[in-house]
Amino acid sequence: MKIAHVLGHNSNWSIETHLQQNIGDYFLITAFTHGIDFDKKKSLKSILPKSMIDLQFYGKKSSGDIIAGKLSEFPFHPANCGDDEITNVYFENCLKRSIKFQADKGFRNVIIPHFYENEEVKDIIETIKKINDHVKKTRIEGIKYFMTLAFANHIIIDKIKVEEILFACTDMDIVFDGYFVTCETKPEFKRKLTTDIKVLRNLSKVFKTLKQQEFETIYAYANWDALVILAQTDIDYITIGTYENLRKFDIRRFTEDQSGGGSKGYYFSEKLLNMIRADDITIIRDTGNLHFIKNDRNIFSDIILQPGFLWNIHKPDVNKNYLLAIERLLKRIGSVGDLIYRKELVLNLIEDAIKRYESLERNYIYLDNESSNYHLNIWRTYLRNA
Amino acid sequence: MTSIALSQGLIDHFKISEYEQATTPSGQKTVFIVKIEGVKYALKIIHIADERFEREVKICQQYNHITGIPSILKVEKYLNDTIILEEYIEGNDLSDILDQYKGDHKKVIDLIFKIGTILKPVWYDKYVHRDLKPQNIRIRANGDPVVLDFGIARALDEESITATGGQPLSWYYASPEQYAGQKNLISYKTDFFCLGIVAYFLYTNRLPFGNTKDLIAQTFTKTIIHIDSGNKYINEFCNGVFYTSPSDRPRKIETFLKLAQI
Ligand SMILES: Nc1ncnc2c1ncn2[C@@H]1O[C@H](COP(=O)(O)OP(=O)(O)OP(=O)(O)O)[C@@H](O)[C@H]1O
Repeated sequence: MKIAHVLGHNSNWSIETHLQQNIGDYFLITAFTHGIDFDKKKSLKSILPKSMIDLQFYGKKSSGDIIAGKLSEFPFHPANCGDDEITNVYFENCLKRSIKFQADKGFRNVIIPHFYENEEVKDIIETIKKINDHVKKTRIEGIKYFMTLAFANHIIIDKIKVEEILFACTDMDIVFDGYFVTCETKPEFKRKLTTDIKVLRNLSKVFKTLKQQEFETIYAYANWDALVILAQTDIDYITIGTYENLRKFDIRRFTEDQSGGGSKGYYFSEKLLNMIRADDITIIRDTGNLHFIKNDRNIFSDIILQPGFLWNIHKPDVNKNYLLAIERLLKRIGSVGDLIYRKELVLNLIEDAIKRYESLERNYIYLDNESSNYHLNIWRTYLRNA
Repeated sequence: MTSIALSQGLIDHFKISEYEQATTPSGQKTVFIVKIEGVKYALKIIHIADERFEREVKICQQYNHITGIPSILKVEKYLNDTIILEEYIEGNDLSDILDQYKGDHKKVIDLIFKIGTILKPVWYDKYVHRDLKPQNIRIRANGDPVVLDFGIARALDEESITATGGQPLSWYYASPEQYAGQKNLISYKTDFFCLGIVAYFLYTNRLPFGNTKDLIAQTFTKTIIHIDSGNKYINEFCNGVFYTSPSDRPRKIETFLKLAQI
């Protein structure tokens, strides 16, 4: 398993942790942030041989709804599409050119984009088949081709739709080397992770099935619930990211202007398997309970837990704490080869986190909203039954 | 067996000198073994006479060269029926010689491998048998299998949207997607699953998922439906194909055939 940094806004932080702390093995460059001149950027040059690029065709295929970011710098990107050009042929051509673009740029792992807003399963399948035929005819030795599966929420919660897509993806005619999977999880208000067991179940099924069929898998824009999926199957690449929008696939990012104000940020606790609001840290510290949540052997955590640290989401150490902690967790889980033991390990981590929440409560620390334990019991139930 | 006689018109038309009825006629089909100019044939009367059905059956003539599939010599409309004249296969129906396979895992797996090898080119062309069961497998004197009913099962299934009554499901040997009526999930992997049932049945002379439709349907709601036949090799093969989701079954025909090798 490789950990891949998603490079978006402030991507130098991710690259720094790679160069200085050895965090992550690989990189996913996002077209939205870096644009067509990504390879001219000094900061990205050194990591290009360990990179892939997501050209992010997610926005609405049938209109100019994509807010451009830097997407329209790519001449073949549907962000440039005028209303008069909306034909299937046009879009297929965009896809084909995007493949060629990546190959010409020297990427060894080519991520074939897909439209998130292919609403109907049959359209998704048709695109997959067409592009598969194209790759069959044009494939270049030494390049691995990954087809994007961008699961909209209404699809991932529907077992039958998911099976239809997997059915097409695992046909004997498929020549892709793997799949680049992303999923719209739609957490509830004041939650960062989904607690919809249908999402956990069906997304796990996607990864398990694709791996069983010997495809390479990339879990893109993964949040830390990736560890529940990794508990059950090998995954070849899991992405980690600094800002939340790099960890949560959300179509609105591509269709609406989302530049919101900064928050104080969150402390990712390896022990609680959760993000704790910065404001909650003060009371935990003041009551002498920091040891229940504190990440060990983590220099970034040490810095940001110091009394008087001025929390801000735009400070590197706040984000780097997550990168270090989540990479450690994922690597630890992924290193257990036997899946039965691996699942046990994750269940133990979950049980331990639940106990820590209970201990905090015994000490009169009641965490609410995002900071609360809203997800661990579902994980436990799900994994025990999986 | 309810017997029906062939009409004199039909006998004359096909120059039939002798005939005997092979099975009780179903709603859709009656099979006769006939002799024409001294040669034996299977003559199948299908009570559907539309162009599409005929076309579907004729597609299968491209496999006439495969020794494990009987050649279809004629497909003809006759009054309100479609008549199919097929090469006669000497031997026994597998369903009549089950005792020869019971408890003999080598013989069972070997047979499945041979059936898989027969169907390989068919699967490559994206055709699916859809009704593999011991009654549809004939065993020649040397033990080699011949797969019957390929074209008809397929064509009837394609047809069943319009045919009155539809294809009665041979539900003992049906796959989860057939049970669920999910036609868009039917593929070569459907045949893989059905061959798992055949293997289990041959080895144990019992059905793997119960004897009633309800029981089987209930089993098919589970994701994992692994069985224990009492034999390691049979288990390995069966559990390699017994997945409710077709997407979890072997993707490549070679992988399937490898499962059917000891
Ligand atoms: N080509 C053939 N050579 C020898 N015998 C045949 C041939 N085709 C059919 N038969 C005999 O006729 C029987 C019935 O044929 P077939 O399997 O086509 O119809 P069925 O069993 O009535 O239909 P279904 O398989 O749809 O239930 C077979 O079990 C076999 O004994």
